[in-house]
Amino acid sequence: MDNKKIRLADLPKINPVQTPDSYFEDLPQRIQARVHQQPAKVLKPHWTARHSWLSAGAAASVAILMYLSWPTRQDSIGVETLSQLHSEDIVQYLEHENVSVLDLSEVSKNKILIDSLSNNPLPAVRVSKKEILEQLSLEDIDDII
Amino acid sequence: MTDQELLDKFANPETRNYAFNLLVRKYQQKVYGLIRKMVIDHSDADDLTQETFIKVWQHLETFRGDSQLYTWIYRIASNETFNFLNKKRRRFFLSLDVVDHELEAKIDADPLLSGDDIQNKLQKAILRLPEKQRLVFHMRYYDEMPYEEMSEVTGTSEGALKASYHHAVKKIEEFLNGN
Repeated sequence: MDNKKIRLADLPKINPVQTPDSYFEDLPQRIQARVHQQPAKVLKPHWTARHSWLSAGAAASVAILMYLSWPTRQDSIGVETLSQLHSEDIVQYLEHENVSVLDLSEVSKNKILIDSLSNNPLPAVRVSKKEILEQLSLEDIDDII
Repeated sequence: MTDQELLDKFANPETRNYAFNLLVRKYQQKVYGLIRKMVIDHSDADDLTQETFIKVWQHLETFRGDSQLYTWIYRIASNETFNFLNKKRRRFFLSLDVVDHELEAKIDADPLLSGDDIQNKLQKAILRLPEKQRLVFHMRYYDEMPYEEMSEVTGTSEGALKASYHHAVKKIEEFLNGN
């Protein structure tokens, strides 16, 4: 049974490759022709129109991001610049911005109160349970809950 | 003309073209034969043979003589061939099996591939080998290249090449007897 098995060593070694007539006679000339068609290697920047568009897009994106993320520089208006304005102009501007003199006054009072609290904490609140219950009876419990 | 004489003439700008022409004539059949057995199709083999020699022209000045000239050329040829087969697979999203089946079909259709039934079957068996093992098989079986030189071409140790060839022969014989 083993004798019938095909062994590679028993096969005639035949080169399976054939080529068209005169292929190897012409090949050197064809290769030489292609060799001389090859452009000389010159180191130059590989820049295309696509690169230009991509660069412009990237630059625009960076500019937009910087614009959006740049902090509002109100403090860049120097004190000297404000001092050159008349009080009436400032009041007019605040009115235009819907900020009344009364609001400013309240803000000022609140600021004084907050400052005083931060320096002097509230004294211990002494309120009786009865007083709390009385106060609660005056409030709308549902709103609180 | 010896390889060293060819290299000396190539180094001289006045005799460079002449030397290169002689070099192509000296190695074209071996290079084409190796590539053709790997890619089967004549026009593909023709393109790859030309590409191989163009690369030889471009880089021959950098050849340092660490290996023999023809193993250096074989190395370029095998790299070109593997790159071609990989690109072909990637371009058409083909698996290894599909490419091998396509090459197998070319064996049947190609009038330039000679041989009787058993030779035809042998070629199909070789195609079932992994690409690198196929290269090893061709260099050893058809070109009768010493393992030392095959090692220069593939960058693989001689021991690994011997084992690879042994397994290749075993797989081929199994295919020949099993089908």
